[in-house]
Amino acid sequence: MSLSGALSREIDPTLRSGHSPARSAHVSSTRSAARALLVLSLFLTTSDALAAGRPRYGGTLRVALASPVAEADPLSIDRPETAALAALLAPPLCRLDPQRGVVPTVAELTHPQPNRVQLLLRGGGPRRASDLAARWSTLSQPGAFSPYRALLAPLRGITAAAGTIDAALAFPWPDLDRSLCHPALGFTDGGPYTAPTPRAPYLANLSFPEGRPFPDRLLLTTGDDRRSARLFATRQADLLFGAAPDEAQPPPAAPAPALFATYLVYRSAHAGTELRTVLEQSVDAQDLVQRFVTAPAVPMTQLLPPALMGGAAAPPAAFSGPAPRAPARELTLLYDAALDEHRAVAERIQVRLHDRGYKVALKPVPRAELGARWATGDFDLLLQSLLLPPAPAAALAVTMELAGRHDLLAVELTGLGSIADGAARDARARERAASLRASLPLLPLYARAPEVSASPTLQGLRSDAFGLPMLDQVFLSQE
Amino acid sequence: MRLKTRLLLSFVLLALVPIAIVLPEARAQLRATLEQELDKRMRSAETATVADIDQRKRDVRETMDRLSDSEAMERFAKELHANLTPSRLSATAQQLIRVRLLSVLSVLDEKGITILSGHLPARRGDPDPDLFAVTKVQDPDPKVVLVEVRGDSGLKKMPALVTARQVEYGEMKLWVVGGVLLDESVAQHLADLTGTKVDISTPAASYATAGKALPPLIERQVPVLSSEVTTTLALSRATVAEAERVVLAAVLAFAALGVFLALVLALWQSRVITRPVEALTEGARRVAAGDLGAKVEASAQGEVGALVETFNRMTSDLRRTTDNLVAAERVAAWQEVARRLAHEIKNPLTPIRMSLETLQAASADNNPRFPALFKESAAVVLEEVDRLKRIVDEFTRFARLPKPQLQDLDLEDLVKQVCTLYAAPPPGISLEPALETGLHAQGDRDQLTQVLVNLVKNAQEAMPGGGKIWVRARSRDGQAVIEVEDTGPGVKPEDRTRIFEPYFTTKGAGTGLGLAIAARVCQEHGGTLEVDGEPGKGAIFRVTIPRQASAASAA
Repeated sequence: MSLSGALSREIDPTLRSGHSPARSAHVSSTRSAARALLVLSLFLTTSDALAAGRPRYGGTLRVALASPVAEADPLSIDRPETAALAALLAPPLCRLDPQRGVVPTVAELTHPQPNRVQLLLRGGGPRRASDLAARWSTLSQPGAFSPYRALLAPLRGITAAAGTIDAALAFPWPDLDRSLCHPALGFTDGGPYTAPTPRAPYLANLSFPEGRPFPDRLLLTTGDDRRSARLFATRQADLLFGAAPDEAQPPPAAPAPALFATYLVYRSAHAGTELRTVLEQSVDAQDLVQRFVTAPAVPMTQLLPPALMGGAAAPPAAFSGPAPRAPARELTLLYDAALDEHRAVAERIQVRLHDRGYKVALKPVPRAELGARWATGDFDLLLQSLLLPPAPAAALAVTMELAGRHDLLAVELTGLGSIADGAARDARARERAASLRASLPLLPLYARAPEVSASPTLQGLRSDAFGLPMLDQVFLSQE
Repeated sequence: MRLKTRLLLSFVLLALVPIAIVLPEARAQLRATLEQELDKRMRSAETATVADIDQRKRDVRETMDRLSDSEAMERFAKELHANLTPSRLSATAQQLIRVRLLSVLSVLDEKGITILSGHLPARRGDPDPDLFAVTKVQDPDPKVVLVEVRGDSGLKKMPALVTARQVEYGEMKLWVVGGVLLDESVAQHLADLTGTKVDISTPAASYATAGKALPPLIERQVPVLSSEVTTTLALSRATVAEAERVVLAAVLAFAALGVFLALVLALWQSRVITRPVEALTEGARRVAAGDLGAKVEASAQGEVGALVETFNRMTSDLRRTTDNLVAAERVAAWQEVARRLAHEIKNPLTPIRMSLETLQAASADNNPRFPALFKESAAVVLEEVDRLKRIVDEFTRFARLPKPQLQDLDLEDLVKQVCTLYAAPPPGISLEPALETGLHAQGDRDQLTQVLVNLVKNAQEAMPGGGKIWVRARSRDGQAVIEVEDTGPGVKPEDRTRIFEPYFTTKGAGTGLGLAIAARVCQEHGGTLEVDGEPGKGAIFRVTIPRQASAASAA
């Protein structure tokens, strides 16, 4: 690509934003003059200095992953790293930029009528729309095993036609825009990269509607913490995912929000009414974060992560010392067999409950089975991690769904959706989260952000509002 | 019991008794030997167990000594000091466990708080008083401690051989407590090594069990672990019982075979021995039945053979002697008959002669009383001639007693007919019949009637002052018995042997042939006539004849 083309991408990022063609034409014409002036000024600048920060196409982005990614299904997000990588192959409908808000990528949401919404899909025809509508409909079925369906709770009568998706709003829901940017609601393919075979390097999708990514290829190497860290330290990887580098890294200027929340879900009918009290008294989230969660994490004392609670006062921790041992009960704790982190947390919970007289058997299960058993309620205790949307109301909806209280969605969301002001709505959502904390059959544990380290060769790395690194925006420097 | 049966039993006992005597002793010996073997096996198992556990203790001690001085431990302490992430430290602990083949490894701080645990990573940050107690023990040898580990259904306590070593890194002092679990794998190893059932347990719970041993068991506690945690070895006594059962079964099988062979031999020998004896018995029976010339044809050896030969000789002599005796008796009987007949005849001849001599004398004297004397003498002569005629008739009847014409007789009817003849008995005499209904026999009606009439007449004549006469007819042992009993003076014992001889009589009148004829008739019918009863209390005359025609009567 020519220098002007590269500069165009640098100067005019809206060109890649996916705005409507008409708007793009207007923007481009207005800025062409500025572009010319800038080109001239740039020519007067030292080429070496420019070359160092200028994005360029080509190259292979080498990513070291601390543990393998089972599959790239956005519904099966088990770690933040999985969500970030999944977005490369199966893009979300839109991007939630921390500064710019909702940025349409492959779809744009419009409100043709107050109680109707329409999603215009880019780069895909009726087949893509019908596929997406079918996926949403499946997700909304009672037997579906994803708590993210709560994000679609306000929608009714989802239909697809001619590259658009139409739906009615059961109640006002201002956070729908932000909710639809969740990776779980996006497509299952057609991302900025393609993967010809599961183990092959990702290849840049030249026809991606938002524009092709800068690197031609993305090479994933998986291994344990030490090996991944060693690859990164020896410059054999440009990006380290899910592990801490050997050398201390400077803290990022804008740390990603920790929205990847882990909960302990329980069934009162199986576990008994006194279990909530025992869990509150014996499971110390701070202890979990300090000793048993490998990645950087923050303890959750509220129903939602601190990043969503906005520093609201947390209830005092109910750790009042050793509680009397309850009569022996036998429970089973299910967790994702592929996650060492969940195993360590599950073992810790097992130990703490054992000290309270509970006999807890640990059972690692495949993620698909974990979801199926959650959906059918076939469990005593279950560890589940979620990528919460960065809106308190939407996050509260997902949490209620995770707790199995789908019945509360209509009541709570109707109330929250009626508040037009965003700040007031967020505050109200926090209040409801605080009130529902003790009544929902789940115990918040901790929240994580993706653990990402970038080498100096990698440029343009930013996180979206979900805290996920936007890997399709990065480029390799010439050095 | 028959001789054959006795012989059979003798042979069988001869086979059984030695076995019965030897078997308990042999069984006791066998049991003792097997128990000794079992005890030896158990002692060997004990020794092997103690040696294995001691080796494990040495291995743990050496491993922990090496670990505490190793570079890996120093690196670990350094990482800990550098506050590296728990995952790194946990991975290091796991690596140390794997490399050193330890199943228990914990790092405790000076207060006994778990810094890291390889066997239960989730205990980080918690105190572990059980493992911390090991650090207080001065003895470097591993001790048995109950360690908390993760099981399929939750946490559980397991015994482990652990020892503690102190590691210092700068100001940091750590305790490294490590060892091996005494779990199912150890129990299985010991079970494979000793061939016993191994149980590692405390009085409250069993922690690891391996191996099999069917009850009944012989158990031994091996004092190699601690006072609380014990290793119990168990061997099955079932093998002893099984071996005993097998041997006993074999012995019993051989005993049964021996008894069977003894039985076969006994049958053969008893047959060989008893056949001539049975033949002798049959011969004796035939002789008793009247076949005096019976011969025994049986091959026999030895004493039995001599007995058979003697028997045959005896029967030959007996027949000859009997024949001679019979002839002599016949001659004697005829002599007696002739004597009695002569005596009977002589008695009437004397008055006849005297009467005729009187007539001769009167005639010679021309005695005016000659006609009266002639008349008187003629009457005497005629009376005596009648008497002679009676004697001759009875004798003739006795001598020419015809063979009985056998026919089926209803003895009840026969006896009733006889009783009707005495329907009007003399005063003071009652006749009471007691007859069995349906009693039939083969006999000559006239002769038997004559017999009964004779007996009843004799009974009446024996009771001139009156009395009772019973006439009974019944069956007994296949024979018909007719009894005539009276309440007269009875028959003296010295007369009973002669009462049935011809011309023997105890009465003043009579020829003395009545009972002889009656006895002859009974004999001709194949039966007998007997007399019984207590002297002074009456006599019982008993006629016994077969109900079916016999060979003797047919002859």
